[in-house]
Amino acid sequence: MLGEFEYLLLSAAARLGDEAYGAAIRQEIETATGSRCSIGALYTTLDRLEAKGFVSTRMGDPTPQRGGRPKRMVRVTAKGVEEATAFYNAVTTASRGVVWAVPPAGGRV
Amino acid sequence: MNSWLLGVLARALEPSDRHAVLGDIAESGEGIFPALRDLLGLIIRRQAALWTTWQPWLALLGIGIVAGASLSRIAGGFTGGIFQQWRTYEKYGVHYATGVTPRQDFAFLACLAAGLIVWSWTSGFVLQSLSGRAAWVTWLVFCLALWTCVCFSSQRSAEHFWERAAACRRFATHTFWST
Repeated sequence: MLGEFEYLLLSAAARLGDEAYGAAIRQEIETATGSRCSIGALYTTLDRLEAKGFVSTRMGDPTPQRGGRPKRMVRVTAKGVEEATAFYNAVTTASRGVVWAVPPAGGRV
Repeated sequence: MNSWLLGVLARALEPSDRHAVLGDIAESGEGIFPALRDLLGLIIRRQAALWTTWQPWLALLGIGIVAGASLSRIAGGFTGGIFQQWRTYEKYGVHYATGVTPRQDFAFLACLAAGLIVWSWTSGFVLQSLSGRAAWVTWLVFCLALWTCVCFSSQRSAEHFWERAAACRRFATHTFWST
């Protein structure tokens, strides 16, 4: 089973498609969650996902806006898609019938 | 200056990682402090991951501390021996009396020097082979252990030397001035 940050990363990479690389994925995660995503968390999670076979990475071409440095391009594998789907289904099933509303003071959820 | 500092820190990463991460930082356009925090965070995570295997621990404890301490004892014995001989010859113009002939003393010091070279090379090779990317930590510990023990044993050797030198002087004074 994926962790939630792993799922966020896989989702961002899947959404970006061929344009999925470190900085773009980070931007996607920050936009989705509204909180800062550290490079350390991003790259170590990326390594872990690659070791599990859920993503594959390759070095892309260097661009001037990156100071001539290459991108680490990310692609979600079929195994990664399966895992992300399983995670999504589990969360959807677990959330069925749940209404997330702030309870009144002294009330129960 | 900023990019220089980031470049220096990024050397702790693998070359492929280094370029991708520095590129991401450049593209995000964040300030130096958030960039440094991000980079340091990644370096710490990467280093921590290296220490989840047994090899760096063996290098740290087995080579860095145990072999480092014994190597420093050999080095201490060697420098102490050379120092004693040099100071005695310089002050009194004689060979320091160690109970053996100067030729045997020289042979002993030469063997000690050879042992020092072989032991140093072997320790360095094993340390580097076992440590991998965690080498800078194990090397740091190894050098600290070596330096601490060498300083300690050199100090003892020097103290021992001056005690022996004072005894020599007393003996010479007693022998030549009393007759």
